[in-house]
Amino acid sequence: MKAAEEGRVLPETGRFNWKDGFWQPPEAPSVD
Amino acid sequence: MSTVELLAPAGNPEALDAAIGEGADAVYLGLRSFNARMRSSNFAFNQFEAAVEVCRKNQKKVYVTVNTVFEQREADRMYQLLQYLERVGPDGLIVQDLGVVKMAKDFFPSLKLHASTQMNIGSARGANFLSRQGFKRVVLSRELSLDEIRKVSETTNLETEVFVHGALCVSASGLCLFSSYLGGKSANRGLCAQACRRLYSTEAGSGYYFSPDDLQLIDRVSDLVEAGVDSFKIEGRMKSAEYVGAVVAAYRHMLDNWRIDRERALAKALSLLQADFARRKTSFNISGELDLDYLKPDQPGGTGIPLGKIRDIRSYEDGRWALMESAGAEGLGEGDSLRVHHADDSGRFTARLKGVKEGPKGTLLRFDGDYRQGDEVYLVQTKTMGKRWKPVLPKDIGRFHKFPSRDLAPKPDYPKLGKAELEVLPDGLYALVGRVADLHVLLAARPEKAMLVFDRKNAEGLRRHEKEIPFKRDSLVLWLDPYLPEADSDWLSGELDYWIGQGQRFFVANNPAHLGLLRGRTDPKGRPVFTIAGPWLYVFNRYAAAFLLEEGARCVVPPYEIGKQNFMKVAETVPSKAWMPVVFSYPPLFRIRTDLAKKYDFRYFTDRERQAYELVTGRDYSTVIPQSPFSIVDRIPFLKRRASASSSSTSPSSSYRSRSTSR
Repeated sequence: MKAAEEGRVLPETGRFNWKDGFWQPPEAPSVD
Repeated sequence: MSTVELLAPAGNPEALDAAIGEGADAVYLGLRSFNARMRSSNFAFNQFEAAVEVCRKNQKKVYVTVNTVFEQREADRMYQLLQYLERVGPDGLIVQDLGVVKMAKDFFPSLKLHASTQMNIGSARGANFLSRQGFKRVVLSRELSLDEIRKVSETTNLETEVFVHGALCVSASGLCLFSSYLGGKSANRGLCAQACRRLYSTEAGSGYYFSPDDLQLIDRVSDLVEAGVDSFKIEGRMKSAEYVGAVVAAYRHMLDNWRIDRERALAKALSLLQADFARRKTSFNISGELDLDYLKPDQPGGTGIPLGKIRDIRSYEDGRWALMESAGAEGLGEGDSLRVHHADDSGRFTARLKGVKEGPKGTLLRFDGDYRQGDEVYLVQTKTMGKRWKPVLPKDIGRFHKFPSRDLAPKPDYPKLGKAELEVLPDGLYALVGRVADLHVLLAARPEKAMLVFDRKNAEGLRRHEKEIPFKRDSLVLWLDPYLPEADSDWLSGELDYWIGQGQRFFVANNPAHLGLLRGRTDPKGRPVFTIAGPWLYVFNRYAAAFLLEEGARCVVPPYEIGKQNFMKVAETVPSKAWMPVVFSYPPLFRIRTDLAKKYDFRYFTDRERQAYELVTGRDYSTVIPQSPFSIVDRIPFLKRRASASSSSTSPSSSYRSRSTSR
């Protein structure tokens, strides 16, 4: 809570998808 | 003939041929975007249009999977897809995202919506909430017992669809973040990397602890028919046409013959299922007593009939041969398909069998590939299975060319939130705990409000310690457990009546059923209940946010797996005070409807990259959380700045989560 109030980076934590978002697969070639 | 629908997967046109050829009444298939099996080849637009036309002529139905969530940047593409589907007119759309529901309701009301199992509907209350939204059918969550399925079928006017055969997820439907957490390949985006099927290590050794057997309910067909199920669903859009053909043939036979002679029908159906070369089978939770043997740590997660380990590798003039540990060449022949699973779980590959012989020390198999001593070999298909079915699609599909337009999606309408409503939750940190006792720990941290996971165990604790709860009613938020099976539905309804009657106003809804339970409620003073839409309602786009605000939510917690760019886009048009982004959490990566402490005695485990996880077991369910938490607490100033800059309101509420799943 204190770190959150002070906006500090916490050690040994991860960002999950926050930074990059989802992995994006290459577009499937269109055969339509 | 049975009136119950037999619904088969069609991951590609060959599987469609097999499904129809063996007597399926309906198929479900995906196009090349927005479906939960992005790794299968799926259908091109003109193939799909042809399939709909031919199936309709033959009184067969086609359902389309649009069962992933979409990000805001994809809104136009989703709109174009729905517009296209309305023109083609399949018999149903299987959907997960409430944003898709909103778009369909507002712009394409003729589309027939089916609730994907990813929506996690396990109760009649959930089904009936969706019925009021215009849904036609619900695909029930896979962990329900027969009694629960019967009760839901009896008390909803939606058609019920139940999985009867095929691969299972280890997690409760729609509540899995594991693949997303490990590498951004989200199951909610159709990219599940099957992380649960990998090898994990504990202090005592390693195993495939979370890789379930496959579901098989062929012997419960009559029970399910009598329970009022409308559609029997076979899983497997990633499976071969041969697999689909064999499984459809078995269930077709059982459905058509069980009333005549059940035992004989079952024997024949089981013999047809011999050609299902998948994993070992389980009836899972259908009896209401989950057989924990459905998880077998010694069984690698892939499919096929195990042929044993490679004991040694021999080189002869005609190439490399694998000497197997055990004999078992009976029935094997050149041309059969094998799958080889490396002993260290570093990979797997398929190969065609080029030779079989019995040597003095055991069976020898010849096939190409980088196999090593200790690797496991599975038979995945025999050459004789190479049955061919009459093609469903016509040869010339050039005349099918509706294709999606380039139209842009209209912006969603939001209900106007009054200043008073928006001021109810002040800016600040909101902290979630998983145990009643932890509320006392929170006191010192002085969060804006305390939040408590509201499951059966905590509900009992709250009642027991009602007079000692260290927060006033208006400072406490009850975070409803996302999993609501029918067995808990009346219980939850009664609990909500009780607590609202006691003046409890703040709730986090995490299941569509919760929205129905909370809508329009007032406390004894006549103040409306304040509903916060939780992360398990998956707001990835403005349309989903609009849906939830229309359904009575006044604040939204975005999903744990949302990305920064998408969140900022979604948040642009909704008042910033209506957002409560998660800034710190140990996200529950998956959830199992049983107490795994009865099976496993480990608490911590690691993956191949040495990342550590904790298995949190409890009386009613188990979850897995990562050892290293998610944190963007350092980004709170950015969140406040960006959100305020992008709307006329003030800064967003920020939530702080402590160990939300700790018990």
